[in-house]
Amino acid sequence: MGIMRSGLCLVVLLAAWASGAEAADITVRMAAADYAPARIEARVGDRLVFVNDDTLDHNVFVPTVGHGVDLGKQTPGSRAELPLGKAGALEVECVIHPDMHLAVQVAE
Amino acid sequence: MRHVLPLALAALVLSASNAAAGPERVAFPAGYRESFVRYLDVDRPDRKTKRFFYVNPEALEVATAGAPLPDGTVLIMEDHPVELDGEVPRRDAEGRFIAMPEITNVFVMEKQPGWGEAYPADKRNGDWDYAWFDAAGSLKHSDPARYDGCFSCHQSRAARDFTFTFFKYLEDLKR
Repeated sequence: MGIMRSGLCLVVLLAAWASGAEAADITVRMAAADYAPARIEARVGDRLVFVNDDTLDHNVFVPTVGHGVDLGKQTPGSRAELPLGKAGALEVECVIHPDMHLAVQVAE
Repeated sequence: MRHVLPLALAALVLSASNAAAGPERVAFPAGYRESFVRYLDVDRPDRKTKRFFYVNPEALEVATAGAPLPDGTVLIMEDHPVELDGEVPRRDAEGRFIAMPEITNVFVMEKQPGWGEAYPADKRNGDWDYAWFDAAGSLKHSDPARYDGCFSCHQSRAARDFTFTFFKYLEDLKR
């Protein structure tokens, strides 16, 4: 009986931990005219932090309906943040470099 | 003499066509907010603006995903300032910026047959031309040189008929 009660408490604690998980900052590097990583699974409340490690300018752009964002030009060495406030699948492009792609899946 | 007149007319038409290249030949789409279809909103944090994207319904009706956009396509990018908390843009329940009613810019790109012929190959954006209006429909800049940035930036999306959003929108709809 005691073991069962302890197990139940553990389940409740894990559920509370999962639902109350703190939002995370997920770093995306822009080097060699690529996003790294190129696929991300995130949760609502997380933020993507784009770090331009490249020697070129970049410009984060999301053309997905419901998620459209243009973060503007990022010079080498700069950072830009994209809060993820809505669940869904979105695609990140670069205005300057049409072959740069990042797929993001945002869960509730 | 019989051959001179047609040649002169052709030269005149060609000259007029070349002279008209640029923003002056892109008409302001009066009433677009009622008659066009708004297909995308884009938040622009660095400028504290929100952009609404529109397409004319005639083009939307016949445009096909993955194919060059039809002649007569008119695309609009409309800028709005956003609501602020101090210096920080306010967000709605889904994390999106909240546009103010004021319209600060109306950028129009229009595609018509032969329009691109006026431009050199290294500048040409298919048969597109560009214009930048205020909310009342007056051109903000009539000097074609002010639009070089439009042409060079949209070159990166040559594979999407020189559009950043509408061609992609059609492809996404198809999924």
